[in-house]
Amino acid sequence: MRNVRSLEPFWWFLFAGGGTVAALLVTVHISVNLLVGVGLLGTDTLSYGRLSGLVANPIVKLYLLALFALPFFHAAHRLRGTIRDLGLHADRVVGFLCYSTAIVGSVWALAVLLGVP
Amino acid sequence: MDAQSGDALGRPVSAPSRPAAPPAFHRPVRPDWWLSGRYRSPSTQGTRAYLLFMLRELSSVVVALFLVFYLVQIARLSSGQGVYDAFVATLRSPVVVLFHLIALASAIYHAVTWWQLNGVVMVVRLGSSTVPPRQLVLGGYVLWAIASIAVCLILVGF
Repeated sequence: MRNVRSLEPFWWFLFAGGGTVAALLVTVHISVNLLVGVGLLGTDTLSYGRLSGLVANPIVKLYLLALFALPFFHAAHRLRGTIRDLGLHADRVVGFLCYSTAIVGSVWALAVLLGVP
Repeated sequence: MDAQSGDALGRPVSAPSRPAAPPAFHRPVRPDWWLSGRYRSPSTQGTRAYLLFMLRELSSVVVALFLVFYLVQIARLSSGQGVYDAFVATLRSPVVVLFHLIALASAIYHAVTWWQLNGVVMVVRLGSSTVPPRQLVLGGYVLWAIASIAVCLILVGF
């Protein structure tokens, strides 16, 4: 197991980028889903044709990869710190698990985006 | 006859070893310290500040959980229209609506604290002058609004 602390600046960079992406972009995506959910927007807003057309665009794929991957690392970094703050002093193991989960999530996002034609 | 390898009686000696570093000491804290008043200090708003701190940290995890849900939603696109439409129909279920309400509250709380933090931790220099923290914070909110409107126009349509 590589000591995650030796990569601290790298994790911090992903944390900062993820925090900015989450602050800028996530509220609008939740809101659109929510408005469809409560019926203020029709389900045709998120219709199969429109959405698959959007996701087929390579720029949109890149946008979505950043939308998913960076906040995953942001959450991993904060969760690592919170677990330490709660009194569990196993930073190497916890950090490894948190960042590994974020890496798995990001690879999954990449696979999903490449899988949508 | 090597003076380095033995003592006066010829017994081998090892190099003086550094004492092992003692294990790091951690002052014991109760796991619920952020709910208790023991850590109140004059520089904070009492216990509430620690609770809000904890909520801020955990808001990032709630946002990540929403993104997992959203990733599944987009993954359904490659399973064909029937599967995708069935998933979008579940957005109407009360449990999913509640999940989105909690996620929205978390995302807004994250965004507000993030932009406020920018005014504290970021120093932006323009030429010889420094951008005032208030303007940095305001800039964050303006960017948030512009990004939200742009994404909304693309996602919902013009």
